[in-house]
Amino acid sequence: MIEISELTRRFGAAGIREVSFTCRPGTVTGFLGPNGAGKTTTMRLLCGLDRPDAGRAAIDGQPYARLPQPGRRVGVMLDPGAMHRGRTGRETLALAAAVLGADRTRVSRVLDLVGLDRGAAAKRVGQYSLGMQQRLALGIALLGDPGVLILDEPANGLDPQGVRWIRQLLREHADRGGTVLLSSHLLREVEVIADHLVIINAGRIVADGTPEQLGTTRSTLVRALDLPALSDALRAAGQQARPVADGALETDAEPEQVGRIAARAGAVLTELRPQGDDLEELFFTLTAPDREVAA
Amino acid sequence: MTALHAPGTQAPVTPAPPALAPPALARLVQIELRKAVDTRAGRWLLAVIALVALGTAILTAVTGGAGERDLPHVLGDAVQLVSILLPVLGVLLVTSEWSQHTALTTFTLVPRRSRIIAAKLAAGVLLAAAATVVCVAVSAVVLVAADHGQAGMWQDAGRAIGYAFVFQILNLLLGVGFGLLFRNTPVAVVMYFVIPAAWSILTGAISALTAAGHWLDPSTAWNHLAGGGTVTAASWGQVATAAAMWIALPVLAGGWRVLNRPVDA
Repeated sequence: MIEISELTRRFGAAGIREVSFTCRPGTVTGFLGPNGAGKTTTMRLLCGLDRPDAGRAAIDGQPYARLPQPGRRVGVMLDPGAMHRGRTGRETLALAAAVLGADRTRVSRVLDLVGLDRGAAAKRVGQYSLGMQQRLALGIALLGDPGVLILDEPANGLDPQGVRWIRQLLREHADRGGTVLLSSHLLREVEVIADHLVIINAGRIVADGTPEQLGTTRSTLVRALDLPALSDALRAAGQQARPVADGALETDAEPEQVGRIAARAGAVLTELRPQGDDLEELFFTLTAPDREVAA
Repeated sequence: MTALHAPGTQAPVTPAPPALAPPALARLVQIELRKAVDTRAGRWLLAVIALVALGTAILTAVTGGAGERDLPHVLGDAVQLVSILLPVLGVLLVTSEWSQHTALTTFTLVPRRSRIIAAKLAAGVLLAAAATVVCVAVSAVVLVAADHGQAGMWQDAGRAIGYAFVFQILNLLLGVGFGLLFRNTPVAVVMYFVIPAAWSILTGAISALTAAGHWLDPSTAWNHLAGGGTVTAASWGQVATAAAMWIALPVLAGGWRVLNRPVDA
């Protein structure tokens, strides 16, 4: 559980003002905002790396700096570059493990988990690609098997395979009762995984809620030669099918699901596409430059 | 690195046991010592320090005058040259956290920053002690190997070894203090070479400051400990005042900043 309450930190005219939101166990919170909106500032304050001018932030009811062994409670990844370039990947993890009191086997297991093999683990971090650094930094965060994860741009530098892997990892972490807070500028990525969205702009929270509450649920638009037959097939498969004005159907099912249902029903599709990139629209509406002045 | 493992086989997230103890200071000291030797740069610096000790000891034992072929003099020369490098080791103990951006990770895992500073100071003392042990061993071996059959080779050896420990620890801690003050490797190293030297020149050139120099110039005050002779009570006072100015002050000022300012990485 992460609780942030009226957190304020001024940097001249910039900084964050009265930022409040809560991340509950079992959920993935996507923390969105343009560059410089205050995402990193909020996360640094949350992790005790900077002090707020006002307000509080707590992890499982305690300020971060008071956690006796924070690495066992919270996995933090704020900057994948925060590693010594002259140390090997394994040594980097081993040092963190020594602080946590974790043993060698845990280091090997985590290297395995983040997909760094023996050869990669024996290389110095200075020779790592951005993606490998990202994996190692995630490894440090996961080392203490914490319930809470705080990750700044976790998908940065990962290849599509890696992006999918981390999505799965975070989803499963939340499904096991963990709390995940992740910031990102990749709206599509966040949309796929988050069940709670917080949008910050110019230092203030401008949206906070579930995708449903914020009206960003995505849908699929489909056309077929025999529309009523497809509509019946979708309903029979337990999906909704809403006729839209120009002779198409809108459904909440994923395009792939719709395709399979249509194939089974022998319906010939003439168009199939995801639609309603509402998060992007919402994001741009809420973070438009003219709103900064109003905020 | 492409082997991707499905993260699906883990146990449910369990709440951490309520009474997790913070890492013991002894463990943090051990970690700091490990950080000093687990990179190539760190190992090279330690190797160079050992080589300097060996070279100096051989030079003094072989070429020194008859009065200098004893442990206090050979050891004194060895620690004096090594003491030029030890502050660099002290600087790196601190500044590598900033130049390599690891401060962020270090202080995220140990948010009580004072414990990290304490661990670095303790690690510095232990490294200086280890360097002294190397100097003593090298000096003794060289003296025995170059045995000129001179009596009194080991006279006052115990006292000289004690002085050497104090001298080395002071020099290394000076580096830690400069590291805390500047948190930037090149700046801290340059400042360590420039500021005390400038201070020496200043106190040497201006007669009104010469007396102050005896008390506040580390190269004058601390060298009593490596000169091969006995340190008088007044000299101990000078050692202490110079230590207050060049170690305590930077450690307190730099440490305050690290404790109270945002972690800049």
